Amino acid sequence: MKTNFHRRYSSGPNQRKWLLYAITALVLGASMLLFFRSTLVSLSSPVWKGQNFVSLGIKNLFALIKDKDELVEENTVLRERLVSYEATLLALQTLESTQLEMLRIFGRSGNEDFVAAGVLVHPPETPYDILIVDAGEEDGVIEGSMVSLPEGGALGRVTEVYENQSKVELYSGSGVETNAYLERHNVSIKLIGRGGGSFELELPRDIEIKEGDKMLLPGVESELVGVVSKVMLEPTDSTKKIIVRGVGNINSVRFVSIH
Amino acid sequence: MRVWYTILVLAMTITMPFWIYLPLIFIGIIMFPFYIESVFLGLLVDVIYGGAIDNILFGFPFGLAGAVLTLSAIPLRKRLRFNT
Repeated sequence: MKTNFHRRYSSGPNQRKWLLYAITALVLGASMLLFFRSTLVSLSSPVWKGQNFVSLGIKNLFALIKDKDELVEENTVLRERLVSYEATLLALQTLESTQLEMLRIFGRSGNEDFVAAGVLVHPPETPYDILIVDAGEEDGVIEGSMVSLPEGGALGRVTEVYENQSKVELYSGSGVETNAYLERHNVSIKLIGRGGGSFELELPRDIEIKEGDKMLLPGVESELVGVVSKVMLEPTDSTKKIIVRGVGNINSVRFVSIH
Repeated sequence: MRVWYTILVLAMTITMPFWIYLPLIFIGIIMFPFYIESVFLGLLVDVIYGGAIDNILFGFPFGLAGAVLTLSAIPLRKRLRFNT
């Protein structure tokens, strides 16, 4: 009896040819796209602006056709929340002026100069924890500048500056390490980005930490970088794992300040 | 078909969330023989959306993944007999 076996796909000349094609495509493509990186971002920028404009318009349209009773209810809730926020704001303003006064006494001024920028791209359009903002070299943005939410809270740093756009790497980017300290005990920590706007860290089990504890960046500004959202501790562990939620929602951030 | 598909994915790369365009690139690899365009699409994602590239070899994870998957799909496609 004669048995026919399928030929196994060993690395024949064809496979080597494909491998060569793939490597060439990778090398050529990478060098070409890297060379035109700034142009690509500039060309995509009007598309992103248009897309943001359209999505905002659609959101507003849906808000217009909302049910009247629902709107009245929402309005009442928002008014109540506003009263509460106004009280908090007053307290914070007092604290801020005290902080500025202290900084002045010590010969340090607060970060009053900043560049306001609109966010063109944010996750989930990008698979990385990256923002592309519409302010660049012409607006005075420099590499390494810190990026915060307008209402406060550090988001990340500018890593690339183009003519009219900049790329911001978020502190929460996967594997990004950020030095910070735990407000409760002034303990120095290293936050490790997990992507998706969150961080993780490990602390000895003896250090007391609770959900809602704040993580601040070192420096006189002490900007908020995250809030503890989960503490995981097994009875046999010598350390506890802490999950920290970054400030704001990176999936819907529209404006940032760069300083 | 192949060219139109690539143009569609390219447009989606600029406008849609990653969980739409990345699976589409993968589907292209399965659908078309030796879909080398996936390497360029992956590289485009890395270059436009990626951070600073410190390591030239691992600085393009999606481009590299595109190349590896395209090569892996060649014997797989033959075994699956897509073309017959």
